[in-house]
Amino acid sequence: MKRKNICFALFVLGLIATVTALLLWGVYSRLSRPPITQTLDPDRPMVALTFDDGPSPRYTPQILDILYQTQTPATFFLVGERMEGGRLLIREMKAVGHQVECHTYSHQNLSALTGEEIRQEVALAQEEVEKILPGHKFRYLRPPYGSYTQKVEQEAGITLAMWTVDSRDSEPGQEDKIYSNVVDHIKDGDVVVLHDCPETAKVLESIILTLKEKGYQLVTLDQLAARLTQEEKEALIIPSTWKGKS
Amino acid sequence: MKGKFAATMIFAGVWLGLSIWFAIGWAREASCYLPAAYVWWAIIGLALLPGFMMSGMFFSNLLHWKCRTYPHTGQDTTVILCAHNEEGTVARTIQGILDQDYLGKIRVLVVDNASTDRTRSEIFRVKDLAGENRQVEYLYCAQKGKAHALNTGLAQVETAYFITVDADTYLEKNAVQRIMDHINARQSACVAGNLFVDRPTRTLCAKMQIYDYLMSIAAIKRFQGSYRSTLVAQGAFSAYSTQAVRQAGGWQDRMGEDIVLTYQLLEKGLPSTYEPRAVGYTTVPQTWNGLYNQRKRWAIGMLEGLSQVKPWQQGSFFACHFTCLNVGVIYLDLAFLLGFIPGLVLACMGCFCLVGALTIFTVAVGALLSAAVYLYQKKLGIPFHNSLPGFIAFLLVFQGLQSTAALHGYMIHLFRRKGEWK
Ligand SMILES: [Zn+2]
Repeated sequence: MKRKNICFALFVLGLIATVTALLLWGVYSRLSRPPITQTLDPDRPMVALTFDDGPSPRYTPQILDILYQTQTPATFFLVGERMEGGRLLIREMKAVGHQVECHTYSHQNLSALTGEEIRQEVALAQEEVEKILPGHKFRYLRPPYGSYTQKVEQEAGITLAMWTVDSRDSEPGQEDKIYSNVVDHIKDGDVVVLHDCPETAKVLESIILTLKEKGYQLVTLDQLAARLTQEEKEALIIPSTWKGKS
Repeated sequence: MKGKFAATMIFAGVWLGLSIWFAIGWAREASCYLPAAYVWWAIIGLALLPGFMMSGMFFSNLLHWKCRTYPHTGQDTTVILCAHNEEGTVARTIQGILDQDYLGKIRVLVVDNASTDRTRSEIFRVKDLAGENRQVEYLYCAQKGKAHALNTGLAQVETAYFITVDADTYLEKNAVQRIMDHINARQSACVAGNLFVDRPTRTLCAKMQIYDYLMSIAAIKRFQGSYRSTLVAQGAFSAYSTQAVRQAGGWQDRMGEDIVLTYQLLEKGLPSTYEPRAVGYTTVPQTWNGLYNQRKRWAIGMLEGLSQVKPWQQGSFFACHFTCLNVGVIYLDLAFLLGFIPGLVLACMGCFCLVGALTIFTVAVGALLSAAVYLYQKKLGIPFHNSLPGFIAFLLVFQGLQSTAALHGYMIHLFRRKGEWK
């Protein structure tokens, strides 16, 4: 009787282990996908898609899937305190060739913080990302709400990266508008800001397909920056208005 | 009763609707990692079904928060007590019955079920201690099997109602009075008493079960009893209408003879209720193996009941509803083992696709339900033990053991192997 019970319990344990192993394999197989491949033609126009506010356990996987299916590299600006809940997602970003950058630790308006607090926001986020991607160093900071001052620039200690095209995807239920916000006025060298949100997950695929149809090469921020002149770079980093649009 | 049930269903339905709405997004997210069919199977078993059950139970138990009291009865009653090798506990159990604060006469029929130890002499030791209005009779049943012993006792019952008590269940002083008041006033076919764990001081395994009885079992019984459809009037302590049991043909020689009998009474459309104020302290298995075997038997008993009386054959809408939920329990056991535990491992590794926000939601309603039942039991004013290690063990290991044992039981029933007595 006792032996039979133990045998059955072991059998169930084995079953649980098998299911767990299959699930882990399913999850990790995303990480072992070959990196996104692309050959860049320096003479054709380029656009960088950037995604703020991730990782979101709900929407980031969908966005990653669309990017992978369309073989589109992009740049993610991550919030430090959200990283713990999306360890696998962040590892996947790196593994398939997306660029992983900083969007502060707790998504506060940096213009309202003291110098010490600004440094903390960047340092804590850096600490978080290194827990997940050892040795990873942020090179760009996108200030939350696009809001910064000269003090922010000085205290942050890393380059601020802004955008030139605002998708305004934080307005819910406006998928068509998001699409046209991005696609209508796009030009060579643009940086598009999007977010890890449901609306974006819905329209991203058509945005990417349209941009590609129009002949744009979609690249990471690094790839784009490598091609910009010093003047263009500065324009990207410090836009004409001091306070961001959204 | 119908109004409260409708309100409960609406509450649980709204809960279910919200969960489904929430689950759609969750499933989409998880499906990026895992096969969609598995994800939905797990979500139903980890969130939708338990959420529906527990929110309904919680709301219904709130609606029935007030404890009903009934006019006292002093009619004669009979207690059937079956003992198979129970030398250690039988005398104390009989003593507990003799010491009852009951207005009427209690006749105790102690059925010795082919004991080979000193059970017989223990019975005779306390037999003559019976005072006024109390009487102990010794019966012998040579055929091994609890159902046979119970039927032997039943044949001797001359009162309108009788009570069954297990040889290892010690009754609280007012237990007989309260269960008799209840069955007499409500005219139920059977009434399940409220079981607490007796002297759980020895092993962690026993301490852990305090909380299963105190919260889970009591919550389910009260929920079902509110609609006269308590699915198990457990043999350990229940009252029955003699006529109803005789009409049902007494007990069948099955692993879960008490469950099968209750199902048969329900099939006839007879009411089966629950009396929280009638408390018996039952001795629980002290070892993990013992507990495993007990839960295995319960699972087999449940399937025996379900196959004897199919849910759609039930006599009342409520009984049909609750037996359907019981079928759902089989699903839950599987989902716990092959959905929740793997999901937990995944969550530990940073992937919250299975065990995530909605699970926390479900755990929260479970905690709310348990807390409410705990307070309710406390309010009864009947003492019970508490144990922090027991509670922690209950949270951490109980469900795993219970589900594994239940699955084992389902398998045994499926392949129709023969089990053992008790
Ligand atoms: Zn932001």
